[in-house]
Amino acid sequence: MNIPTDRFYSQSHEWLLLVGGIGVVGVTDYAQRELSDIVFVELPAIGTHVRRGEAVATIESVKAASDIYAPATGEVREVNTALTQNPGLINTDPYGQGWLFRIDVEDPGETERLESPEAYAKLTASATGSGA
Amino acid sequence: MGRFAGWALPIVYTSVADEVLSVRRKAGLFDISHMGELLLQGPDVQERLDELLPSNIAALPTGRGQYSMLLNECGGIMDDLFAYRIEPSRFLLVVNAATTQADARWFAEKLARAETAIADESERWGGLALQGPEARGILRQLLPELPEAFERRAIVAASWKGSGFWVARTGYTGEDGAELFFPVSLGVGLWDALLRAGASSGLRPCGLAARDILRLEACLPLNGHELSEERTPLEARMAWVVDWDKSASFPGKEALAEKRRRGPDLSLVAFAAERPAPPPRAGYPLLAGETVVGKVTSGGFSPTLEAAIGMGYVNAALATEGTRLTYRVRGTRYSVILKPSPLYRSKNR
Repeated sequence: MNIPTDRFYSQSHEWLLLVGGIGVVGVTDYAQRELSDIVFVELPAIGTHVRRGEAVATIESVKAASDIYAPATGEVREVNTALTQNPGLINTDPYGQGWLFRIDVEDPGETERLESPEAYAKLTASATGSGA
Repeated sequence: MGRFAGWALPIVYTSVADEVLSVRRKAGLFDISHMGELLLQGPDVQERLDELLPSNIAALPTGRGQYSMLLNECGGIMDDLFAYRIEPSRFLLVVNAATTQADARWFAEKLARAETAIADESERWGGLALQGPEARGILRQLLPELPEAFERRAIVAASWKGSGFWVARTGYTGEDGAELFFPVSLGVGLWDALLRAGASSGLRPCGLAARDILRLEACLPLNGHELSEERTPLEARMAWVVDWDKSASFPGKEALAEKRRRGPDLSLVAFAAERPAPPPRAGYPLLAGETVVGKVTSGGFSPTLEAAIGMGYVNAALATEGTRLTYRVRGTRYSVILKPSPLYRSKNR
């Protein structure tokens, strides 16, 4: 399981990467594997104010539709429009080209409420047993 | 793995999209052991089946199979099946997993006074489907004794490691290929041997999620979705299953003839979304303007056509190619166009 050490993680399997005051949001490798083939993504409108823990996007896989929760509070500045034509980018590159949206994070202190890479690794290892 | 009708089923091995495309381009191997196998045997089996199925069984030669259905007295579809005449007085019926026991009981009741005996072999037999443009070449590597003229819907006896089994040139993917029905003791050995034989041809194991998308692209109906007791072959646009001219009467014949005179109210259609859209899932209403005019029976993303596709029943008056309908997901409307069926037709068959 790939868990980059440069970012924060939520218990609902989103990641948050802070670049200056902007937070890039995506879903984890664990999440994309659990969801399997992602076939559609519904992203928030630019300018939307989202609160931490709020359902702000939807990912539809072959199996089902899943809510994506904002890992931090702030205004949506940009969404990954490449996902409209190619939602499978989330499966192939969840931490890179498969990013979902960028938010202007209001309070960087909110990251204390998120998981460290080490804690997230433990969380997913116990969820899968072998980590497979 | 997933659970269905008491079976543990392989849903996906790697990726549904990759598995679908490997069947379209090369080959895929499916475990279809959940399918039911009923053996009917007796001196009057042809006559009895002609009275029980809407198809012309008398015209089915030995060594051939035919798609057919079990209908109730109203013409409603209880199950769909493949009937193979494996010997002059012996038939193999391949039926759906969820309906196997009900089908076996239904036949046993109907055949109570017949000279035909029915045996449900489903627990003792396994099944594999080898599908794709490379499928027949791979099969021939394993079974070089297969006859040259192994035509579509033909079924032949084969043998592997001293045990006999059946191979039919059929499938449920819209590609060329074969289905194998065998004593369960052969299952693991045949699976491994086929994967080895097909390794250099691009054969890969495929799950039942891929099989569901493949059959949807090919507009092959699924029992419990497109087919149910509330629908007849007429709404399903499969009236070709019914032989109207054969002398034998069969369950639903009169009801179907009457419905045929009036014309069905609903019709099964295939559709594709015009732009990226969420999967149109079974049960979603289909709308013309603000009016509900139908319902999705199956839907999903087609990796072959790179679009959200589906099938569903709509008011017969609207069931023409080019009609635009919509479905709603989380408050947003998505537009679909009714398309000719099948949505995908293989060039390799």
